[in-house]
Amino acid sequence: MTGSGGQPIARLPMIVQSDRTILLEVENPLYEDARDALASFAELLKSPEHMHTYQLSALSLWNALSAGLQADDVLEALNRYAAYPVPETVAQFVRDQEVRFGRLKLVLAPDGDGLWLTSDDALALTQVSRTKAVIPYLDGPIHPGYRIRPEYRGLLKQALAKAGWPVDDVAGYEPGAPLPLALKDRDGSGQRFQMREYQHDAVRAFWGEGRIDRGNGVVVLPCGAGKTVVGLGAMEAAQTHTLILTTSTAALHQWQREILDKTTLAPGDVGEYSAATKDIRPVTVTTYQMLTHRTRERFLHFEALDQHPWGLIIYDEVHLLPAPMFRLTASLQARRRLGLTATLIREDGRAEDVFALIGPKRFDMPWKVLEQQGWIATASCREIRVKLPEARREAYAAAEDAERVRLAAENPAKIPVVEELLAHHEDDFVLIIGQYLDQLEKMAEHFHAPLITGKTPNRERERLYSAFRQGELPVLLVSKVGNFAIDLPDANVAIQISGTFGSRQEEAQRLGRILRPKSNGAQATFYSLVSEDTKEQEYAQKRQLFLCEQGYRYEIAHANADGSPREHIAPVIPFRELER
Amino acid sequence: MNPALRSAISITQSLSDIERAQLQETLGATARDPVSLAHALTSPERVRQTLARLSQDALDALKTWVLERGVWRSAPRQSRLAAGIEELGRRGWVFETAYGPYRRTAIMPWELMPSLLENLWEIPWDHLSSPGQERPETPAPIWSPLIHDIFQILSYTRREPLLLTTQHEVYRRQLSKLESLMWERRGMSAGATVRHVLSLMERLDLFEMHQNPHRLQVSPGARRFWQSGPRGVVREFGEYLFDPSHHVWPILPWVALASLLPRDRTLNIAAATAWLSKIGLASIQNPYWLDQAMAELVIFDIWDATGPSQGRLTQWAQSGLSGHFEEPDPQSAIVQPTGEILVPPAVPLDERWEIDRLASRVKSDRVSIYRLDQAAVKAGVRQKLDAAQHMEALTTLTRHPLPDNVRVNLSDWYRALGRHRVLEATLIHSQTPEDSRDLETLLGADALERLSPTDVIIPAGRVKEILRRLDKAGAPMLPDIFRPSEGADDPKKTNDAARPLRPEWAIRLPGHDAARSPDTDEFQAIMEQAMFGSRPVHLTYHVPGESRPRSEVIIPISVEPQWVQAYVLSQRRYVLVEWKQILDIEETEGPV
Repeated sequence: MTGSGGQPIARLPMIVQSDRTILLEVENPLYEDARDALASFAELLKSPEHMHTYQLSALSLWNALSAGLQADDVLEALNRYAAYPVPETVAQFVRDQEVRFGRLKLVLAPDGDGLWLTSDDALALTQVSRTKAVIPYLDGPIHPGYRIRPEYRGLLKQALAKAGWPVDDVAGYEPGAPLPLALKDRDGSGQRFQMREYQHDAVRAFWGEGRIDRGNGVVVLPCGAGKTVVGLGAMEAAQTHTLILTTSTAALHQWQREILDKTTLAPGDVGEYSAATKDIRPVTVTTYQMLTHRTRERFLHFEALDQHPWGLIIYDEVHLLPAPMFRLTASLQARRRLGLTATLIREDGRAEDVFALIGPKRFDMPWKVLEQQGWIATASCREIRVKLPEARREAYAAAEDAERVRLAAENPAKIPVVEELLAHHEDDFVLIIGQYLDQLEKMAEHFHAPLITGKTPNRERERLYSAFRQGELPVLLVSKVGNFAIDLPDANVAIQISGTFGSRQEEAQRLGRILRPKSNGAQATFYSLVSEDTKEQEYAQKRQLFLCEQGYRYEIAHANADGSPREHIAPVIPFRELER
Repeated sequence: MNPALRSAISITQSLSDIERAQLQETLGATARDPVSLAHALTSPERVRQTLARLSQDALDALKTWVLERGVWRSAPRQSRLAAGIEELGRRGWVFETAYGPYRRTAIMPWELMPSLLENLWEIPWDHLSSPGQERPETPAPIWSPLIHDIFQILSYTRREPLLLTTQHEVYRRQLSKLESLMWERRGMSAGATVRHVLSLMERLDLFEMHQNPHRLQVSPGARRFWQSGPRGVVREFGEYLFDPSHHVWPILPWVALASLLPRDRTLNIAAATAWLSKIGLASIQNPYWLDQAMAELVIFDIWDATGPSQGRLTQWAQSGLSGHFEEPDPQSAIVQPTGEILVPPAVPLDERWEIDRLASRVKSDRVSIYRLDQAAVKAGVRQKLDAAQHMEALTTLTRHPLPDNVRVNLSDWYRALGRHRVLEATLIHSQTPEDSRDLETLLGADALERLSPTDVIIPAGRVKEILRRLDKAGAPMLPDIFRPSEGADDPKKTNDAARPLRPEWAIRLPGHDAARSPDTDEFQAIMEQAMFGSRPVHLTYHVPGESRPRSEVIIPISVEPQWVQAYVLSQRRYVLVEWKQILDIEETEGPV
């Protein structure tokens, strides 16, 4: 075998494991070819320095099959790049998924009354009809198959996906009320604006020229890669009334800003449906919390919004879709749906529900590629293990478990370390992110920097964000409210002084705050301060693992209780003493 | 292990340098190292040439060896079979294995079986086989099901010794865990696999037994086992599997026949067993034994059942049994910044074993995954490693240097775990504080420190002297050191090393008896004279099992290169006495 340059290849880059994980050697000359082949049918689980791990799951294969691939294509790609024969069990699994996928179709009923679950395979229909979770949604036979009531469309798809029988939903969509709009050539600040090539590709993959088998699904792009713009591109393609669901009010406002900044829509076309304002317009932005809010067992806000003739629904950060939203989304199946996310991994393992209710993955772009192309900033992660002062060490030893976490997180020795870091990054824009308000307030006071917490009024938040964006504020402290969807284009340094550490999402989101491309091309740096030999260090181990799995460079250093460097194993802290 | 069934390399490795030189000359080999000699010994071309020059007795002896499944059960002295074996010895095929001074057996390497089968009989392949899917000739993978399973069990046992019931069986709880670690085999229960592999491993002396509680632990030989590489593993495995005393069914001839099968055919089991039975292989058609043997062959990844009554050797067995393995790829393990160590399939087995020692197991698959975590550091501390040694050991095994964050993590964990240690101290406990104070006075400088009003620490290395001195000073005490965690002494407690090490069976060239002393020629001359003159002689000689030499008046009947056959006058019976047993011969006066 030869590489792209014609040079002979000593060994092939891929090893297929019997548990259906696939290992891909990064240093191999065929790496890029194999990676591109894998991207279409396997999920990237880990991408550390030398060897990347992909997972071949039922879901990833359904995604591939729905994109037009066949089992033979998948096996051919595996055999082409695998250094050892593909295990028979894996090959069998791939073929099994092909047998299952597309075997069931959901179309309009021939008599126009509801929908029709049908198949060429009588055995598949029999098997499905005997599946306990599916039976409640079958409404009498229509040979060959069953009538389905439109209100059960989502629930049926969800149940079938769980049973391992993904259904091909080609029953079509409601067109929605028309809304003419276009993307602008120049944004609000007068700078030239156009969608990047990969954003165009993502929109095309989702929209599929308006075909009946497209118009739903998920676009996976890393933080900072411009998922919002993909959403705007989808709106331009659909030309219809659109409902946008976001994770927070800050994110809601950011969407509003982006829509008005980059599309031809007027302020009157864009509404906000939040706790403060309930304004339904042709394009309405709301939050998941609003939709899932219940009053006397009724989802009043959802019902209010559901009355409107939406032609497209956009789910921002779809991997965070709260569990009650699945039930509500199940009733929105007649509308085109676009999910936007940085990862398909869900902490609750409900990725299958996303597939069934929002749709298959339509587009994916590894962050490394975007980093190489300069679309997102290069980031490095640094952990500084700070010694606990003597008195606090004693308190820590005597404390209860729950209290220990907080004692470690609020280690006062972190203040001099932050001081050192800020001195080093005096020309940069630094976000200090923390979990505990007391600690954040002390830091804010110490550094005379503004702090944004959950209590900060929206207007004040906007003002501070704006000042930070304008460069008037070089340092901004934020509590966990800053995790999601705040767009701070010039933040290139983040210092995490405390956190929950366990959650992969939180880490990804916090890192995402600094990944947006820098105007001067500067590298982004993500510092985490943890107290040495404490629970916090144990938790930080998980974060380290996650970030290394994502392929980030991770360095560790130590600091004394007074903030001075200690045992300088890895030269990662730019301490002034050392520079002198 | 059966000393009569050995592999060629095992035989050539056991020979002395002088014997290897002699064998090289006999075989006309290009080199005298064990591998070259083994290769020359089993080369099919050389086998063919040698067979063409053999007498009928030697050919018959070879047929007997094949039909008796790779051994000669009994070869009466001065029989045609013995003559045939002797001739084979002169050709460099037969060796002698000795266990103790008097027990000897003639052996041939088991690898000769296929060539002999092929050359001594006309194999009717058209009748015995059917067309099958053609298989390419590829080297056997190093990381194969059998090696994987042995490795998994050893790796598990290294971390958690296998506890034994009173029937010397591993506890069910641990068996279940081992079952989950086995390579998945089609249609074969993991329980059966574990039982067979455990049995194999015990025979290969990969375990050593300890008491209190009864348990199997990994023997020091395990390291040597992995160092011998896949060929060494197969060699040892073959000596176990093909041992005629291991299985009633003739596994070695069967596997030899299957190994000769053309690559595009499969063996018809009924026809093949009928043919082997026809040429004289006993019990091959017994259906019960056949089933048992086939199941074992499937478990050990030797047999691939291609149909209800058809099959052939697996790809691994086809190449592996002839020593054709993929080239190992040393230092190809990868340490990721996540702390994971990925061990590709072609990593040498000894490197894999070393990685298994230095890191925690995560999963075993084609690429096995280990992790450098706190558990790995704990294991390292127990092995008396420090961070630098741990990292250095890893660096010699991996393709890339250790990532910085992994180095820092290891250093930090070693520092954290090394700050406090549990130390063992030897102290003298007294009944009362007054007694203890008196004792302290008697001890003088040997009282290192007082731990409590009744306990004084003394130097562990001077216990005997201190006790002697205290005894003389009027403070006698029992010499036993009491360890509270051990409880009372168990009177039935036996030595931990109760299990003998694997017996060392010496192998030598036939007639190449180091015990033949310079006196032998003189003794032989006296005996021959006595024999021709029918004169009795006074013989003093060693008898196996007796501590004192025996002295008898005998008449020599037959004088042979290795022994003398004699008639013992006082007992009125014949005996065979080896030359080396003879201590002295005195001529008596005149014929009887």
